[in-house]
Amino acid sequence: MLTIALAKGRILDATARALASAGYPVPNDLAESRRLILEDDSRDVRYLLAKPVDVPAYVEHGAADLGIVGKDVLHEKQADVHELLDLRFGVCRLVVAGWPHTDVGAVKRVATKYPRFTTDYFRRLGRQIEVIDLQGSVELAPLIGLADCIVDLVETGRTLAENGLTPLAELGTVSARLVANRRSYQLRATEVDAFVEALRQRSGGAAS
Amino acid sequence: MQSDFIERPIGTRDYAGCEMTRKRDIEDRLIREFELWGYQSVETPLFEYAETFARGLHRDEDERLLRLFDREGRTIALRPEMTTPVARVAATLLASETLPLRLCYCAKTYNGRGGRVQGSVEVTQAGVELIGDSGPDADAEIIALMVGSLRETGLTEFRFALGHMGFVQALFSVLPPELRTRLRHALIAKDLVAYDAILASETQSAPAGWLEALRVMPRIRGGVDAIEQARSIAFVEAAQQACDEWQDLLAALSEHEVADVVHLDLGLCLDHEYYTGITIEGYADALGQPIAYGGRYDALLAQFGRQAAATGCVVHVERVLAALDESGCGVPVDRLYYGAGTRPVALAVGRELRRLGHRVAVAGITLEQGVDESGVTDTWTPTDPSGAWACLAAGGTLIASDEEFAVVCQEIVRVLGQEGDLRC
Repeated sequence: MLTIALAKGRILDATARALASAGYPVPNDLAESRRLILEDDSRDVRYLLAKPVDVPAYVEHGAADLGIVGKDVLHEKQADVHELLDLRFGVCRLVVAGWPHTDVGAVKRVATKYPRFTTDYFRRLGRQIEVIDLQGSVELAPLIGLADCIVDLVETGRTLAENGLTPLAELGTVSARLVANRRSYQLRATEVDAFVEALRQRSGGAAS
Repeated sequence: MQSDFIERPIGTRDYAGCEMTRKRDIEDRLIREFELWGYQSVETPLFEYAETFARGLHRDEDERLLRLFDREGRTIALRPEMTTPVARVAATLLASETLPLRLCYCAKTYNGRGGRVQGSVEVTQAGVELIGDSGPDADAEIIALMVGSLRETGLTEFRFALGHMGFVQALFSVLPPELRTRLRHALIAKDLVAYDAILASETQSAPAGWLEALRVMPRIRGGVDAIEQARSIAFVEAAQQACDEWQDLLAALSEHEVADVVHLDLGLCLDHEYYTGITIEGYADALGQPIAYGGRYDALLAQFGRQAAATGCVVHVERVLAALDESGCGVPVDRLYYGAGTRPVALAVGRELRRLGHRVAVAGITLEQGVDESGVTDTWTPTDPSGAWACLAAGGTLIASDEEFAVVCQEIVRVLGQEGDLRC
């Protein structure tokens, strides 16, 4: 039996749709359900519903064989897992945002949920900045002067606009990824490869 | 106020009790098996000059060294692995010994982990190095020995994935050096998404067929069928040669009767620069992280002035411990107590019990612990529940936790008494 950790929240609906179209249907009420483990005996898989930031840990330690999680979380966590597939959903832009006309090359303090992305980005600009590591409502930081700007995921940009902030630069885009535990990738190769193939055909079709 | 003095540095841990017994047992079993295969134990310093490790390690790994300074101000580093120090020993202390050398060790290693919060800083590595034999038979010996050693520890469900750096390098040979490095880093990071993205963005770097071969390469895993697939994309002589080596290796492993616990993984890329040929990574079914790794490193010895091919593999002892079923914990410790006046008897009986192979602790009990003037009351029991216990009271009376242990102790008292060693 394969155990697959799914990230709750932002990408869960798209994950459920992708799984369904790959031949692994999950219950419709996934997002509302309070259950943490769902079993599908007919396909011999089991799903763990975890907080996105915890998915890499479940997979790295082998509590789950596979995981579906955003590249944003994956990169921040630096988990020792196989990154097998870009699932091409849950696509978001990762941007530097702040008051209009802020000079990105001159900021000193940056608030973010993504300290690693942020540090890497500003290092490439030749800037060593102070990162303020926040867990949510990052937009608040520049509003009250805690930071000069923020680095955050943007889907529609509405939250930014409502708070008078604007995207200043783009670090890149992130999307959902299929990751595998190192042991499972080797010892359950047949099952893992079959699952990867089912999702690859699906994501390949969606990509064009 | 934070009390650091009572905590351990992050990434380290303590072992005690049952868990420590099991860990020591695993180490003993591994070393015993290594020595049964003709490998000789070596010991090297816990720290060496940082340059020594730089000779063996990838430059990027430099930051993972735990460094400090010696009295002359030279940079030294805690050993991050044992292969480099053992290579240094083979090229210096053992320079005049005839090859091949078969060396083994069980030692703690240290790494800084590049800033990651989780993960062990301190790792016990039990390993073997076979120096001076370049053929696949040597790689097979290492793998068979590792399989045997892991079985000796009691582990049953595990496998080894076998890669070949020569194969990867041969397929990369057509590409510009900078691109090779990026692809190799993606393979080391096991990031196939990045790997594919790099290939997709470099369509001018190689013929289309070759790029397609590079794309499928890291996904190929399997047995003899994987060698066939590898041959179909082995466009250069060096790649075909790697396939021949895999084939010879699998043949030898089947004669070692361990072919059922290995498979090929064409994309296996370990993050040490020094690997040149067959690479090995071992996984236990019960654990998410690899438990063993190794491979061929034919160029490392030359870094220390001795030309010699070499291959080896190490086991991560703490992970084997985690992978093993927790049942069957060591030998229980028996205890022997003495009251007023019975100490000489108890010490003599303790010596004899140890000579017979019992693990026994001898201790006095005091009046406060519920003992009366004549020795002990027959309602007294020790508080520690493990193992058998006996208490020698004045006048030769003996109370014990079980009949068997009482008989053993009484017999020793009787024999020693007859030999005049004992005054009761």
